[in-house]
Amino acid sequence: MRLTLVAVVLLVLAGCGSGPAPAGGKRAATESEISELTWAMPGAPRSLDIAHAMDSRSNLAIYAAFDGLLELDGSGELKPKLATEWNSPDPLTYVYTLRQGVKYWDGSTMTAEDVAYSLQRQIDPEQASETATFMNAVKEISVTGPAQVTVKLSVPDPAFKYVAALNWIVQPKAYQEAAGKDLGGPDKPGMGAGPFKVEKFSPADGVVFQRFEDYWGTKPKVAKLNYKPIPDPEALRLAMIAGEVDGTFIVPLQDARKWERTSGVNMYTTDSIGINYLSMDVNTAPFNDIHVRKALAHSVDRKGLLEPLFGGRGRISASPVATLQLSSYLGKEEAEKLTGSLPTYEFDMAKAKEELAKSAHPGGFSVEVPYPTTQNWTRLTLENMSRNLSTIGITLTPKAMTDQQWVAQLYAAKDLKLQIMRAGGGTPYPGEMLPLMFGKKSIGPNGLNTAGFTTPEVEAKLAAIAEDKGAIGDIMRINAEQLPYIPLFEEQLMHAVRSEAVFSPEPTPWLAGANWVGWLKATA
Amino acid sequence: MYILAFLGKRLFAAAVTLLVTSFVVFSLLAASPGSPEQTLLGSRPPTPELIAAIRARYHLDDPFLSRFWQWLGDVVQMDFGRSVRSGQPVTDMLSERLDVTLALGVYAFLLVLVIAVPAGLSAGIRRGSVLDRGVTLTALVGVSAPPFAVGLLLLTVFGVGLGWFPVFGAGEGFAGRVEHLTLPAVTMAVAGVAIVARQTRAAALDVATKDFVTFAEARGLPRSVVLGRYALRNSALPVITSAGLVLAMSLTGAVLVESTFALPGLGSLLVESVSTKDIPVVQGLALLTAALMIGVNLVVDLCYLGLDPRVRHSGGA
Repeated sequence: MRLTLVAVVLLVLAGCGSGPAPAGGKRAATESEISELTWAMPGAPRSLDIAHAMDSRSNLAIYAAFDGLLELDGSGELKPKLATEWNSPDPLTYVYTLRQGVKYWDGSTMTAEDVAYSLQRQIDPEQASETATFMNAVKEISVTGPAQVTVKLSVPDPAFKYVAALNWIVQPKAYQEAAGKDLGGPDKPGMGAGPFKVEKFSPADGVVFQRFEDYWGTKPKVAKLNYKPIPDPEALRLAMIAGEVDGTFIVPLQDARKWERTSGVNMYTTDSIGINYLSMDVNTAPFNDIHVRKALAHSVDRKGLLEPLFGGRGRISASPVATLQLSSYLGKEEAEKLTGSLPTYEFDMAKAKEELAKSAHPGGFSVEVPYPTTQNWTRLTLENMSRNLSTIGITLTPKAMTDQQWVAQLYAAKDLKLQIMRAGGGTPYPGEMLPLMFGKKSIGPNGLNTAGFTTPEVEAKLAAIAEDKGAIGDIMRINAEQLPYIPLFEEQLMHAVRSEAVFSPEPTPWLAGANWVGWLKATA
Repeated sequence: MYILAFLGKRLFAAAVTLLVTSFVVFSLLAASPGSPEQTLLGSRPPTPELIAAIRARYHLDDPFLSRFWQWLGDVVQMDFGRSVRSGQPVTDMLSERLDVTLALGVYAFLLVLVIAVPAGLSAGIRRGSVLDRGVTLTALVGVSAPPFAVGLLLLTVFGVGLGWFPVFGAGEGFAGRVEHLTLPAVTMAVAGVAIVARQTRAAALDVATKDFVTFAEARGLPRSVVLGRYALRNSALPVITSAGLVLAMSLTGAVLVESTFALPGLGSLLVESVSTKDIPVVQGLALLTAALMIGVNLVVDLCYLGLDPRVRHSGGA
């Protein structure tokens, strides 16, 4: 009995010892075929219909197989895909010239009607499309030539141009109409013009894709792609060590160091556009006091938390706008200059104490902060703050909630006080989250202005955001001075690929809308 | 005749149980915080129009009782509705996953029977022996080991270290299924073996001191006959009760094991659906689970009738 136990323990240790990290990094890419590749994600796609699958695991499966009108390159610029050209003669009009002779998987040819219908369907209230939130400004979609589609907006929307890359997946009108409610499900998974055909789709067991040999663009090297769900992160890592899975996107950053040490697996890191921040309701005590807000800003040990929370794969954030978005808008240098000029609040409990003494609550106060249990970083950050704040008389109590409960209390917008959250848009446009976080209209139930912060100046800047390039910087400065939101971190994204394959080119932060399987090459 | 009346009574009770279960689950979900459109849209802020469109599509604004009534009316016609999360018909989702769960549950249950009953029986008959102490200790470890930890341990050793078994998925075809489901079934069986072995041991202890066993041994009957014909049959009732419980558990409570081995079964569907408030799917699962439980219990009761004449003659369980 005892002997067997010892033997098992020894075996386990043998299994865990994955040896030193591979020296010299990734192997070189070749042009040879990959007959079969297995990609794992924490869950199977909900649906393959872009209108009803607004989550990353569904999206990435859709982008692997289906083509949209445009795509994003590594620097966030739009590139042609099913549209060869596009222009915007005025801020309310977008004209797309379509590629000719594009074949769907069934051999039929793409028409301008298909293209127009594919977007039209997503703004139809009957469809209750989840993507409609990106298309609020769309007034009319029309076919204006045999190879031309024009979209008219009711108000200028600088983020609309990205819809063509992220949401405008093209499928035949007849197929979409015939499929009805079943579109995107196992029986009618879709009919695209992209590099992979859907051979089999199950929301339980994932997707099997076969390469589409008549694809109009560069054909991927991978002939067959299995897109599999593995919910447990450690089981996924074991499956990669065993060689049953070839790669995965977005591994949990708290396990970053463990993944790095896993031999036979290469890691890729990119920036992301998510911001982790604290929100304080500026209309109720004690957070209506700017000194209280500053005291809190001084009490988060951002630098110390980067390693335990994200394995060092992140950076300290100085504004509610992601660095990545700001750089793609203003250029890297200009963006750095702007961010560098903002007031910052370093971790310093003496300064926190000083600020608190100047406030209306010099003796401190108590506050309960809800956090979603699935996001470990929120709990650890709050525990860290709680300990720091206890030294100056503030009692911060983290309160665990299920995702459902947490989202419900956030959107109910009652008694928000102090909240810890992450927000991120989906496009390279840095202004996309600002109207939601600072707009007067976004205060209250279902709004994201959880700080309830609004001033005439901010409203004016938001109104001018489409025309005035400086408006974004001004709002960033107002936030840094008034502190309705305390920016904390920008997390990176980490992807893993077994060393039999490499990403060539390397993955960009703009996975959305990209035919990412085309980047995977066999190694020598 | 008696059996028929018994079955009739049980079927009626089953229908009432199913109705009550579905109503309770429906009410609990309706009362819990959050709503499906919030999960569908995640942290992305919805417009009022979009919320209205989603709520209309899934009839979320109708009064509670009318929603339940409508659902019940459809169910009577075997229409379980569509998932809010994926838009797929609930029956399709359940039948696809039931397959995996049934295979896993039955596999684990067979392992439990094959290992636990002989082990418990021999331990009980040879009370205080090394074998007895070994079985008791192993059962204690087995019942205390959390399934996800056992699962990861088995994965690391037999999946990754030795490479004997596949690491994830449910496999295709019979051979593929058996190969893929072995580690998960062993993981699930660990706790079950522990429970059933302890029950069997206790029952066998009780029987071993009975006069008829002493008499059988005194007559010089071979050990196998004493064990098989006398001890096993007379200690069968508690063993079957606990085995029935274990079967019901393995059919309905495999959430952690399914998650560890990435098996697309009912347990993982339940977790996903509850956390996204996907009411039609949760309702379908609740009905199916309740039906499985009732079915297993019915089989257990029928076994009582078959095995023990005393139950038969006293007029049923």
